[in-house]
Amino acid sequence: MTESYVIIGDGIAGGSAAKTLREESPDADITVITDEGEPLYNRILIKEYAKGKIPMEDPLFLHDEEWYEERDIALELNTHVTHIDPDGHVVHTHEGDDYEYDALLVATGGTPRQLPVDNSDADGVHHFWTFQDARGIADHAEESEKGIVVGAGLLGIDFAAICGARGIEANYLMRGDCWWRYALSEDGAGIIHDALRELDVEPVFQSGVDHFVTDDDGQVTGAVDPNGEEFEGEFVGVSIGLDFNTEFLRGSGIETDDGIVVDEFMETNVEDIYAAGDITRFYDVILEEHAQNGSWDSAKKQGAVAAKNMTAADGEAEEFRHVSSYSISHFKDLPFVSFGHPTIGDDDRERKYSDTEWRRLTFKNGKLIGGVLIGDLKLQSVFKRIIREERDLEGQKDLLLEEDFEMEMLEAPAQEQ
Amino acid sequence: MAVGTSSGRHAHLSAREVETVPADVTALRHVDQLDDEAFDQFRGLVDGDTVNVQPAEEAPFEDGEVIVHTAYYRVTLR
Repeated sequence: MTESYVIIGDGIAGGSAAKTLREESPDADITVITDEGEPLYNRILIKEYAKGKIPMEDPLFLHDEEWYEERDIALELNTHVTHIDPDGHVVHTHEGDDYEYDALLVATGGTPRQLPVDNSDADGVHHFWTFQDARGIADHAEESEKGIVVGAGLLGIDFAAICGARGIEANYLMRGDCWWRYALSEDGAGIIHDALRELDVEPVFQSGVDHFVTDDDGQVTGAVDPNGEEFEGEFVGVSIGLDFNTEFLRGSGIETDDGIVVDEFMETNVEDIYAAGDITRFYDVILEEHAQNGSWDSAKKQGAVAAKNMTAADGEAEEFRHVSSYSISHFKDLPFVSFGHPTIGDDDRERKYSDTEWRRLTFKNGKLIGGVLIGDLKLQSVFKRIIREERDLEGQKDLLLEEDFEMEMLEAPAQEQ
Repeated sequence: MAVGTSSGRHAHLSAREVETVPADVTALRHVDQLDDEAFDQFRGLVDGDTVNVQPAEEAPFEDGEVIVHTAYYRVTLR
């Protein structure tokens, strides 16, 4: 009997899973369902499109419709899944169509969260997730002069970069006293603040948004922060996080906890249902606890691992074992990467090497679990390898801050995996 | 501006910074799409460091590919 696989979501996790499923199961029926109106595109690079640096769309598509046809994969665009029936192994859509599955992958990602303040849905207030969002942002940014950015994290800084690239003079409203305060100290964040100012984006600390101001046509004209200070701006970018798309799972019995809970094999608590990508709270075998990750490489690998396990015979499951990385490439000559888990852990070390070079590393139970490098990325792969090898670094953590650290300086052997 | 090269038994890799993405670009990737080995090789090309030689078919880049990092770099494979 022919196996049937259904994938909900056509981001990089879903796309990677579709490719792997076809490789692992040449004769299976495979269906990809997405509520977007276009096939898989490069979600990392649409920020460059919004900045105006990549003016053409074609190179940003990773799969066209022919890609699916050539692999005999059914692609259902503009299709919303309303609910799933785990007992009957059926997916139901808004048009009344049913898709039966032997194994199902949920890779629906998230939707940008709105600020819970007045006028947060006004014209000119942008959220950034899809290619369609990027097109709207590009069009509006091109004609804007003053901007406001909200969300002091890895996604919010994309809006700051868009303002910088488009010549929009902007204020970047942050609730705390530095950018990405969960992973950076003031030393590290200070380097980013200087880089933002060079883009004509001014960080504003101990701020945020109390409400947005609009004109009579409903177009945003500014924001008032909790201190009562008003900032002008007809272009507003908000990135304060994602709400994961799990509404259609209500009643399915699938365990959720700010995302879908999966084990190291990407399987949920419900038989034959897997999840991959941003939406998962996965068991990290290196960290030895559940974790989340929004990086491209993590989603791509999770999709591939899930697909292999959807088709694997009993006892041949592959575990997800990966150290991710996420770069910010907006600042000329100032590379930035975070890797692993830089916002958690029980210990950390950091050092500033110059006005543009800084390093912070996080540890758990004596092992390296993550970090942030600013200015010099030469040790990125080395640190990721140390994490993968789970080296016991007790008594040697400071060695990792040596400017010219090399693996050979460590006494700790790699742990047997 | 050429910023780095590496020569191999069958491949000669070079990367040069470009201001814009050429209209005829065949492949376009962000640096986060490179695996660790490719990233180290890319960083070497950009920095002008010595990069391990390799046969062309094993190069982790396509000829003409543009890699997006803190600048845009076009990789040439000869």
